[in-house]
Amino acid sequence: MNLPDDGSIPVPQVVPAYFGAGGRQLFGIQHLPSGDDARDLGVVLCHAAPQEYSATYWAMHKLARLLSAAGFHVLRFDYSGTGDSAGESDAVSLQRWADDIPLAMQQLRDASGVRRVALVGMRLGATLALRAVAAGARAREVVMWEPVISGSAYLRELDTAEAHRLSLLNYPEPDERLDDEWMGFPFPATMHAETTAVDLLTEPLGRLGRMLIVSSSPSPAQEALHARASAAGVEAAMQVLPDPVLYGGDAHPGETLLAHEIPVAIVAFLVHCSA
Amino acid sequence: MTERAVAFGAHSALIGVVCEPTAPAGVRRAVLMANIGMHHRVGPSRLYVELARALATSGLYVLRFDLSGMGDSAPRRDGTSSNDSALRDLDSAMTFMTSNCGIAEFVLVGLCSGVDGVHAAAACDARVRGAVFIDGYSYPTTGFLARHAILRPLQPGRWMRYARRLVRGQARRNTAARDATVFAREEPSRAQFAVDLLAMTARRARLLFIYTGGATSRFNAPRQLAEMLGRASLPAGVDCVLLPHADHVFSRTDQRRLLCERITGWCAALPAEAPAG
Repeated sequence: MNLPDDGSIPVPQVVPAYFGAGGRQLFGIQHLPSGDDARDLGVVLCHAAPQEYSATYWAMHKLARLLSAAGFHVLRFDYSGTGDSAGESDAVSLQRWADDIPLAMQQLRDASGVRRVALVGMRLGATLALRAVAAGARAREVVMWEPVISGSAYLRELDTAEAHRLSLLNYPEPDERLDDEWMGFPFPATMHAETTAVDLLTEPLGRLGRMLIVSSSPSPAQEALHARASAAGVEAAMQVLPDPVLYGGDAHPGETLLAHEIPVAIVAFLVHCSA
Repeated sequence: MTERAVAFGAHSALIGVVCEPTAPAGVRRAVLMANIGMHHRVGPSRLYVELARALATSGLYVLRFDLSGMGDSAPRRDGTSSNDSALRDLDSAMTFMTSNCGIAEFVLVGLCSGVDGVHAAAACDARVRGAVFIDGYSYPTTGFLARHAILRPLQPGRWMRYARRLVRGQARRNTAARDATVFAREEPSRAQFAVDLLAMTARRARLLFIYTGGATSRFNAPRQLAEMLGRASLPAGVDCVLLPHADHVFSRTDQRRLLCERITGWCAALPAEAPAG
């Protein structure tokens, strides 16, 4: 990746667009590759769930710019009922979000002409990316950034983050805690049940070729997933790099601007995959 | 209601979403919402998406967009200060909606730091027919200080939480001090605020001030707005609402719904006549 001497990342040209059919309009931002030598591998970025969306937004934004600077066509998109996409915030489901991913991949193929598409998922987005591949989405390469491997562990993390958030609220008095809202978003019972069922250590991996697991802190669950993927014949790699924690109660939106080591590692991995 | 992704302004650098009503209201107006701080154009907890859809359902056009250098909009390279940049971006947004949707009257909505550009535009741009300031500028008044001194000790939750912190040995975080070093803003003086507000009302722009429970440490009663202006009551065309159960970023669904109802109702009641130049 060739960046200017001052370390700044070129501002790519972006194309906003809705795609998908009828009432399932999804919003996406396509980052066009800088320079004339576009790679034939496109990258779809799968955001975290709404509860962690804002905290990780700028990190994903930075990754998109770095990938663009490295010659990739990139598409960031919002799942149904999140961000700018159609749908209500309380009518969401993991299954639907996983089904949105192949639509985004096709949108990137149609808009850019790339033949191959890799997936990069942040947190629950990594889980969804893996599920999309297992369901038949044509991606051979998946990057899992701070992946959610156990749904029940993830729910405990959200619960802790919500309690922490409420403890910092001085006004108004947080006199009651809503069971069906976490971190500012509805969390319907169906979503709770779907999330509880997530266990990437037992779910199918699909026809995956390469996998990169990358995070800012080591985790036995990530090591177990890495071992499982390797045993299944996937060319799996795992990296722990010293970037700030982007999610949870202590995360601050401004700190996501500091994410650097992990985005650079992801770009290097995808450059290797595109060769 | 339909939603359309748009790129506008110089070099199409500003990115946004236009919400178009299925049945436009009799008076063609557009509501503009720029991103808030680090949040991009969807707003915290998707607040601006919900508000835009509610307004479009009521017959108004809405443009949600990212200011230069925020969200998906490219940064300016001309060294413009952030306040001037916001003003220019709002100008670009109004020009775009005029050329694209044939709309000449605008209502601007700002929350927290988002009020900076809204205030500046409402003070100087005759196209601005109305403005909504959510947790915007506030200045301590004698009435505020008196209410603060009386009401604060009467909140049992404060004492309970203070006790819990003592038990846990948890030092209170000075988040305000931390944020102040990161998010420095240039706010108008109280005198300038009063001058600007009266200039807005002089050309018959309608103004809605909404303060949340999250702003209680600096604004604690609707009458404080009149006190800030040194008046016994608010000028004609100015409304002030306190939403005591909402936090600063409207993290509860019921409070977001209440905000949408308040703003949608207020917009629907805006008179049809054009403002004085």
